[in-house]
Amino acid sequence: MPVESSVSPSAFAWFADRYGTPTPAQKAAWPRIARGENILLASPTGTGKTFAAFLGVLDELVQLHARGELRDTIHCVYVSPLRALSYDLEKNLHQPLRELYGDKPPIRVQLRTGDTTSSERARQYTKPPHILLTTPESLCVLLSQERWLVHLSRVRWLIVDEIHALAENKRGAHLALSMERLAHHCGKLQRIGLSATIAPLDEVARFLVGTHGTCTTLDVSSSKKVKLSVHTPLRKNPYPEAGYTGQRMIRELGELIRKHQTTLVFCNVRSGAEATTYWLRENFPDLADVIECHHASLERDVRRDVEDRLKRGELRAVVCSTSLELGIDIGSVDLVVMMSTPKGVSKALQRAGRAGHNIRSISRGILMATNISDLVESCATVLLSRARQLDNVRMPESPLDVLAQHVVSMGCTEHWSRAGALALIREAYPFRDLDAGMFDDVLDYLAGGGASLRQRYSEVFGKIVLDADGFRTREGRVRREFLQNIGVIPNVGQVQVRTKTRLLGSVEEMFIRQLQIGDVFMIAGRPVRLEKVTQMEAWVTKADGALPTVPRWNANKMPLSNRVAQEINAFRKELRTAFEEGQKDVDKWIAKRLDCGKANAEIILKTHLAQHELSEIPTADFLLVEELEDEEQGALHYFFHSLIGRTSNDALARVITRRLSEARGGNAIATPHDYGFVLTVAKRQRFVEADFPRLLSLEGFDDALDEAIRQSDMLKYHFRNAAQTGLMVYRNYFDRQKSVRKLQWSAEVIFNVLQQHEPEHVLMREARRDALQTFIDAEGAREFLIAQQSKPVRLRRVPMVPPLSFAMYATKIKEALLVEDPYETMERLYHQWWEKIENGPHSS
Amino acid sequence: MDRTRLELEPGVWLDAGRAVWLEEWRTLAVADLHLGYAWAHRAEGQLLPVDTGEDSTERLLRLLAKYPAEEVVLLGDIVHRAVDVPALHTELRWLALNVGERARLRLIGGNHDWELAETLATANIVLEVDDHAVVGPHLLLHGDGADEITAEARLSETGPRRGRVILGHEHPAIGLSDGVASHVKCPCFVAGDGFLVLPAFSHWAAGGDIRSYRFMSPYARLRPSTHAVAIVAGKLLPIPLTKR
Repeated sequence: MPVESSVSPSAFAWFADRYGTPTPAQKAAWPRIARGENILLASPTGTGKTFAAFLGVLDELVQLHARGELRDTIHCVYVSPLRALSYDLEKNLHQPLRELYGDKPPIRVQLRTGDTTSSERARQYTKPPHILLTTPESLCVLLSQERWLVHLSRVRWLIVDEIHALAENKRGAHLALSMERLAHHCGKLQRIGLSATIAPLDEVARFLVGTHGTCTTLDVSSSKKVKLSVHTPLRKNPYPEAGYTGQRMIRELGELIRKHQTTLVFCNVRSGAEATTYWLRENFPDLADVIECHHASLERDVRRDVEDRLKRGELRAVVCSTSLELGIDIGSVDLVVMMSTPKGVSKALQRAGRAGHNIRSISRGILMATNISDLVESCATVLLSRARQLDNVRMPESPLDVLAQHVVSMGCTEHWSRAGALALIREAYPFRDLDAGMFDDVLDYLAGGGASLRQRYSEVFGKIVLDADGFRTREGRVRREFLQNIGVIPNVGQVQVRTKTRLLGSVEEMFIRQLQIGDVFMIAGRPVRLEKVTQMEAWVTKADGALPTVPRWNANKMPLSNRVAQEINAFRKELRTAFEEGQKDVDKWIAKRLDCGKANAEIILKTHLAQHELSEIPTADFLLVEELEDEEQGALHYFFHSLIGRTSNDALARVITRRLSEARGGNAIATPHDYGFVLTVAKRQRFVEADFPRLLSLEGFDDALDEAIRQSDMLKYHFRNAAQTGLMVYRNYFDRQKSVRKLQWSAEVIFNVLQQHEPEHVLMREARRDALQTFIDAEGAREFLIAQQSKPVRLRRVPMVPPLSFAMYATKIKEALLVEDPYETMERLYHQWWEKIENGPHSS
Repeated sequence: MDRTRLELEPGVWLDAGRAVWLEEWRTLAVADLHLGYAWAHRAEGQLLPVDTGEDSTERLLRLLAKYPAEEVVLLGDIVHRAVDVPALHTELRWLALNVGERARLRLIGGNHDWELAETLATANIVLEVDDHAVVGPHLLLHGDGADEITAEARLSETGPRRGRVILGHEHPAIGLSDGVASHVKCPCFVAGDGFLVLPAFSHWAAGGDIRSYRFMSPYARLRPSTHAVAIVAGKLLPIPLTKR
């Protein structure tokens, strides 16, 4: 079908008039959408995804209206993970409608999110929109109400935006169930997924259409040019006498900002974003007013302010964490800078893609490497992105807390047979392998307990009522309370930060508790002084000029992706061979291999040569373990060079620590890192070669890991989330209880009781599954051990911290709380250590 | 050496079973049972597990097997909330019957017990709920509700008599770390100048780390705390407290 005839001539003419030639994304999508196919469109920002998805939809609705056949029911549901995306879209869709119809178009486009007022909701019910823009949570809220099902029974199109940001987490699993329920209810549903560039697109396509659906994947991601390069302030001599790299980095960043119109700077953690904003302003006071900070812990108004100014082109730089990664319209950004590696190729491409906001411009992205490992990693990332070697996606498997929530939601609108419900749930891709026994356990839990418990007590306060065939949800209070508690986003203990006139954002409670009145900290890139703390709020005043303490949000730090790890391993092996064979001009070879320029190549050569001389270059063919005696602490450090990413190393380190403890007694401190982990032990726990088979054995790995995380804070954290999502405790329950601070009836309490008496409770199982998949990658560790069984271990004594272990070692050092230290303390250490390297290990 | 009990001062024994034994008067005292905790939450819509963790009666019987008690005092917050739930009534009856067979049971009401009298009546349990109890020179109460003046007055009375004000209410706990990787929070007793705070008897009590929190009760605030006795793995561990 030629593109022109996939939409009506008038629509095509209108579009051509306004926007010119259709983009590749649009050309690919329109005919298929017109044919009723499910499609997954992978395409970077600025390539016309909105109209790729919506032109056909709008066109049909216009035609229906012209024929007098447009009914008052929802025809199209659009779901996105960010409210901001939906706000933007509403504006974008109203534009053509207004051009066609004037101020009150007969085709209604409306938003439904947590922010929608109750009067708006009432109006939406009486006169439903034709296109509904919503979030996963709000969609579930609607699906949980019988009366809304009427308006949702003739939906023709379901559009899911930024689907890659949903597929890999529980929110996506939650949406997946909603999608199947909607499809089941409507009989027929065309699904359109919009994604940025990730792989495997096949997995995401399955996620979109469910276990048995079909989907065409349209990958037009190479239609936009992305140019990535690596920049380092390290220069020839990585650790010069004068000045610190940290300061130099800020200065060079500032110069880049000066040279461009608008720069978007990504930092991996929120505290980094705050610190960088602060230092940029300090060093470039003339730009201070046009440099802003943006991240999710900032108050919505503060964020929208920044977004609006950015859109209007008023800002020269915005420093953010991951908050601006997704497709909100941010105007035209001509440069993207990533401070240190983005930890994965997909992230690098995604972020760089935010630059150059139309199809014809080139997106420029710079990775700023701040130390050696960073440098190599960044180079590897850039190489891989050029080859389009993208990261994998790991989806949560049958998360039971999400399932519990949906069971209650399903039961609100009708009675379900057990078999029918199970079949529907398994249509959702993340739940395709849901075990029938687990499903029954979830039903029992929601019914208030197992059969014997229900027999003993007339009232067990369950959420659902089980009968011979199936279940339904109890009426009245249960349903009302349920509607208030839909969603998977956990309620972490947050304190709102405000001045007398304005709400600035929120900060974790743990952080505020460490502070005293009068302390200065940073928020929205500006220092503020703590004046007063109440249960839920921290009152502050502006403290410009004072030296702040940076709040440390517990934002997830991303681990290294497998692909990049493999690439680094490959590079190391080749370099090692080059050294062993005495090749000449290795620096030139490095420059070519990593495409990193002469200066960078020299630094990389210098470092790896030092590693080669002091120890050896680790590769994937063996496990290098370096032993270092720490005279000062009277301890031993073991550097394990398992380059498998931090989450996998976290799992591995825990198991090994546990086994060491069993073998030798005592404790060990393990510090996991992307490149390996450090084990610190007392001298009497010294390793010998003979220890390794047992430490690295596969047998009993799962049990050892289970034991290792049993009492961990991390597991309790996951349980707390599972307890909230799984309706054991209400989100706002914590807020109320926090006012009885002392007593702290927290999820930890329930966790302890369950751990003792009912460790197989469905929510405990979910907490473990989540822990072993999210922060700890058990799979990754297991895979490593399997491969390691046929490889040797080399234990080496080293006289000082070798170059390739330095990053791991430095991670051990606690992040100091003062803003200057992360740069300066590290720098001082690097400096001292580098001096030792230069002068030979036996001097000092 | 039997680390499950510790003599705080002549005749006053702390037991790792979360009780205090007043030897001369053959009285056992525990605090903060919070019976029906899970049921109370269920009635609020929160699906806590009800079949687990409720073994207060069994633990009291173990204590009774260990000490020749004539009297058992429950120092308040006996129930978490007096929900009208048969399970709670049964639990109370079970306790009253079993303990009552072996010793005289005395109930002191706490801030969670304001409907307890009614619940007892519904459950056909004939027991009074008192405000406080005097055992020898000691004053036993829950610890809520008193103002500083009253508290000061009472402390001044018991002091000279070589007695203590014994209270619950605080759910004291203390964090212990091995300085390396492990960190646990253990329930504990807190002993001070003329007072003794009991740990919560209930497994459902998380407890607040006494090093981070101020006591709520003036009985524990007006005088300095001298040390904590933590219950770790069924044994007692005295920990001196520097300042409070």
